[in-house]
Amino acid sequence: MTAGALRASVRSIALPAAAALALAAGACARHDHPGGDRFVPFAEIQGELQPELANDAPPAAPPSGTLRVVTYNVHYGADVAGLTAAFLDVPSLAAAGVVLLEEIDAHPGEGGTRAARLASALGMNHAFAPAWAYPDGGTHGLAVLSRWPITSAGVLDLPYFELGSASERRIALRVTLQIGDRELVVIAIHLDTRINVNDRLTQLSSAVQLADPACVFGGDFNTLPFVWAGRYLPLLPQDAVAPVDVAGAVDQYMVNQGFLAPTAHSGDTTNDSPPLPNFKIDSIYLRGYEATGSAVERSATVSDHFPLWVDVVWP
Amino acid sequence: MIALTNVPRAMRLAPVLLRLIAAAAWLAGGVAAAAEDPPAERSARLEAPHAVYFEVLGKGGVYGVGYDWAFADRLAVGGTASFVVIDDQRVVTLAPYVSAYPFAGRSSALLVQFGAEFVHVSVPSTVPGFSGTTSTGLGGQFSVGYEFRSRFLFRFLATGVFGRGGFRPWAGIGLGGAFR
Repeated sequence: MTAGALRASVRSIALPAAAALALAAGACARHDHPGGDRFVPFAEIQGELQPELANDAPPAAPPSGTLRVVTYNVHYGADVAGLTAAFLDVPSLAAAGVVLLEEIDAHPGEGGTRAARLASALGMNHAFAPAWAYPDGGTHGLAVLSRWPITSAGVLDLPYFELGSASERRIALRVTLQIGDRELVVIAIHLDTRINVNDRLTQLSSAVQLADPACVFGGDFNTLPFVWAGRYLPLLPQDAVAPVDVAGAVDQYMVNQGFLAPTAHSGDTTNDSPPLPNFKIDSIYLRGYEATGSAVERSATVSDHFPLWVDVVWP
Repeated sequence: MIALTNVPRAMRLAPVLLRLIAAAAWLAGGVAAAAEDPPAERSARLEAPHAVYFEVLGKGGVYGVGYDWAFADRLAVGGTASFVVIDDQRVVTLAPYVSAYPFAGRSSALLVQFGAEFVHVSVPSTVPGFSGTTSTGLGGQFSVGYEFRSRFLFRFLATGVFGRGGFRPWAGIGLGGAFR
């Protein structure tokens, strides 16, 4: 949603009244709901946000040497065919064993959730966790696709921030994969856009504190380098001259929690056209595992993000 | 000497540089011509050459306070400063500038400004496991806009700020007073 954020900011600078609005909104409490204290198992979640878990694909053989993990914000994932083509045709993505998807929708009348349709087309299993619902009964959330069986899945409510507009429930999705005789825990996350560094780390830390000693932790951390005034207005003059290294702050925090940050120097992960700038806002972290390489795959242009991958050393 | 690998970027920048040079020449010509032809009526800038103002948005980000001095009818120097604390983050901005008035009546004028922009952002930590961070930079800014000056000062400026983070558009209004 970086393009949207920038467009909103450009619109807002033409309206000095936005400043008063921004400053008024800035009086909000730091967070308006503390979030959950555990990953709630899928089976306990009912109603319009009922998650989906399917292990229809035959288990693949355990990886030999490395296991490729991809994170990809698919910007609603409307173009399932395009996403499928990217994962089948682009060699770096075709090698993926585990895929973390952020901002993926499900809508009635589409023949299944978009996560399910993509997983089916790729011959993978999937877990889809809606974070919130549309009025039409559709949902929006996170998914994990895997070539190996998903043996458990749970959802964590992250601390909720009232942003004045476009506020949304944020979640983390934790799955356990059975890869041969070993397990791999994967946590996918998508943080708020218009919050500052300490609030971002507060939102992130709620999931990190519950993360397993050995796990893969990735997603869209929305580490835009802005100072947000009143959760509305990115201070663009400051960003032009002295951008805040928010991605570096998250890397530092994760390293201090015992994670490796193999994607720290990946470069920008957003896919916006000039004059909109691009930023590094997606990351993958490893705890208890080593990485042999990582890169941003810039040939996949289905979304406003690029996919980011890491090769995890698999024992 | 431009390295071969830099040639495409240099070629892309060339039209931009030519436009900037042409604009600067046009501006200098206008200001020089105005200096040669004394205005029939004494302008508000000469009657009240000192101005203090408060900016909403503008070069300072959220807000700024500024002063400038019109040392000639069509030229002025000044600066804007801002200090703001947002979610524990301290942001200091200093923006000295030179102003020119290529088209000016007695009170109303097209205002062009350019200058430097210094920014320091300090982010102390409130989260265990994070030690805080800072960011400091020096860049540039230019603005084009409208000024009304009597005893009362009003400005609207569209601004471009550039530095190591790239180029960013911005805008703001200034309200204040002018005096001798």
